[in-house]
Amino acid sequence: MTSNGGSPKPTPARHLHAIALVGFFIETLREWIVPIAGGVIGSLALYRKHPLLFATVIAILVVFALVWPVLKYFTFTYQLLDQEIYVKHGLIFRKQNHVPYDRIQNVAVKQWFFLKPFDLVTLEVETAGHSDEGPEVTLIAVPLSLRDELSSRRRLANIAEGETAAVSGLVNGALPESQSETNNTANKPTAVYEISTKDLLKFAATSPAFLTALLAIMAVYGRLQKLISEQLLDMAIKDLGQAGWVVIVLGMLAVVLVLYLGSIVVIVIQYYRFTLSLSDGQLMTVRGLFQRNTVTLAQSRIQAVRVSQPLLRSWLHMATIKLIVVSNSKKEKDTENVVIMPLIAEDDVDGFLQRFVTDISVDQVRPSRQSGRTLYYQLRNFGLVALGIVLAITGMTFPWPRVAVIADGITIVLVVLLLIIPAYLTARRTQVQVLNDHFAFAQTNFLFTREQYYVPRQNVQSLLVKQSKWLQQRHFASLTLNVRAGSEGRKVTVRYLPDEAIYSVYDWYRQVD
Amino acid sequence: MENETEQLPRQITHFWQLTAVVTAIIIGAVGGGSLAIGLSNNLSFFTVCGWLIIGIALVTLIAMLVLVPYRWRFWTYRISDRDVELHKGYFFRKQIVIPIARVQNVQLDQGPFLRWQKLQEIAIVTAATSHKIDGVSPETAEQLKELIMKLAKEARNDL
Repeated sequence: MTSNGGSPKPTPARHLHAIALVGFFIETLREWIVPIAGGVIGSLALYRKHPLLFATVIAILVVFALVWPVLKYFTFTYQLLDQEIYVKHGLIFRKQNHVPYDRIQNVAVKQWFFLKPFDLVTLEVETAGHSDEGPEVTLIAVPLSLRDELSSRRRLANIAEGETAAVSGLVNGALPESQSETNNTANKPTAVYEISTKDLLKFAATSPAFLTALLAIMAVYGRLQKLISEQLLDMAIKDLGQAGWVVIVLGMLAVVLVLYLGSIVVIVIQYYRFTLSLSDGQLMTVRGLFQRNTVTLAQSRIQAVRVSQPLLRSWLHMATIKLIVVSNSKKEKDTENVVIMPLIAEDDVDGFLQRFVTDISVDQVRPSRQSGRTLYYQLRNFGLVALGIVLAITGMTFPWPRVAVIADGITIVLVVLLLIIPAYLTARRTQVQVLNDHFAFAQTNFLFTREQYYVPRQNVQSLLVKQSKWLQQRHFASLTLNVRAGSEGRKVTVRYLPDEAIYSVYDWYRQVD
Repeated sequence: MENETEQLPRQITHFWQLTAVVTAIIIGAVGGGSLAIGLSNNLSFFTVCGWLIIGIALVTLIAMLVLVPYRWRFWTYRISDRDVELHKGYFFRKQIVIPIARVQNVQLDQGPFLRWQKLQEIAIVTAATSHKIDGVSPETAEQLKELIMKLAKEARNDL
């Protein structure tokens, strides 16, 4: 390691480990699956008349699928230079990518279990730039030691640049930069958390993820249902009689159950042995069963802290803590919200944040008085939308045959479930307050999930107050805090609160530093 | 240092009026097309839709034209050495605060209509958002840009 002493010499241009060939092969297949499948199917017609031609086409495809990854592999080199990572790749389109160390936002390390014996990992380097193509640099199958080499070079670069250059404007004064940045990475972490099996199972079992899958399936079903004519469905129901209903209901329950169990398995695989550690102002999470997934990020890059609580978890008084960070990947939604604590008891959130993130003083959050008017405004807005939907759908199915009555019934139940109850929850949960000079606290609701945001003043990019003439008469207003999340902005919006609270945040935001 | 609440230059109203007309013409053209298809092929659905869309175009035109003075009267901005404030609307009031220290860059745009009125649009870009000032004179735009960028640099050095 070259972390002590002058600036390290640039490494020679290196190729990836030969195992990367497999990775490139899979990537090639994924990218070319449509043309290849098209070629094979297209040339099937040739098979009878010109078996030789067919064989040639297949042979060309096979050779291509084998040679392309090899070419990709041999043209791909990476190099750690003085101030930047330098990646060169491409055969026909030669691409050269320079990523300065001080622009790196976070480095993700992924390791498939079968690569563990070889100490090989995939490194994903992210900057704050806007790019649709995922991480700035992806290095498949490089030695694990490269990560340490990279981080020591990053540290040196940051010291040289005075750290403010990191992401100008996003630098966060409220979350103190660790003092011991110059120390070795080998330092013992100052705080460690590892999820227990019980918590992992609880986390998986209370996740609302399967509902998303359920909604997707319902959407597909809706499309299919259009194909089946109503009379046919009606007849089928009549034929099956009473037993038919039982079959349909049981079938639906079975689908839900399978989805639910499936989501538990997926989440357990994803979060298997979740570990969080803090050392040198760097937070590191490691998780995953088949693929160990490591994300490292500097405390100073945290934009805001988000504590979310889906319905099931709020009944259990448990919550999930996420960090809103800057990244440039649009594909992977989870990179803008790094989960640092899958499941924690409500009462422990305070201590946890003190230990791992910063002095947020969760205990300063004052219980706020809810106003009946907030509830009135929310119910009015959501209620009008709900009424519109119900009228439109019941109107469309007018003479109301039996199937339509059932469909209308389901619509009304869904509208109440997805609009009216959330409207009530939103009104009850919405609040905003200033905690101290550096932090504001906002609580919002989405569907059934309560979201709490602890936002440092330095990271609020801009602020919007909305107040109509009529709201002004009642002394109510709405507020939006704009923060950077992932590759774009996120709005933290609280609607219809007494304007006293809103303007206290407004004044807090405009105060002199 | 200008600390006054400023209004957009009067010419912006001409730009808004022209935008209203062009918007209405585009919507109206769609309606007209639908109407032509409906009448020539005797398709009542297209005819009805055509009249409806033309009606919408007219309503849009009138509403937008009528609202221009209101929009102008209540569209103000203020630039101090700490932040940029934008105010919009009277009945539905919006106040936006952008601290200078958060400004990432300032973008000046000028389309053909704005060029005709000798105006320039300013977009103030932060790490999360972009806020527009619909149109100011090119000199003001240049000044504002210089000011914001200068202040942004100073503010950032303080961090």
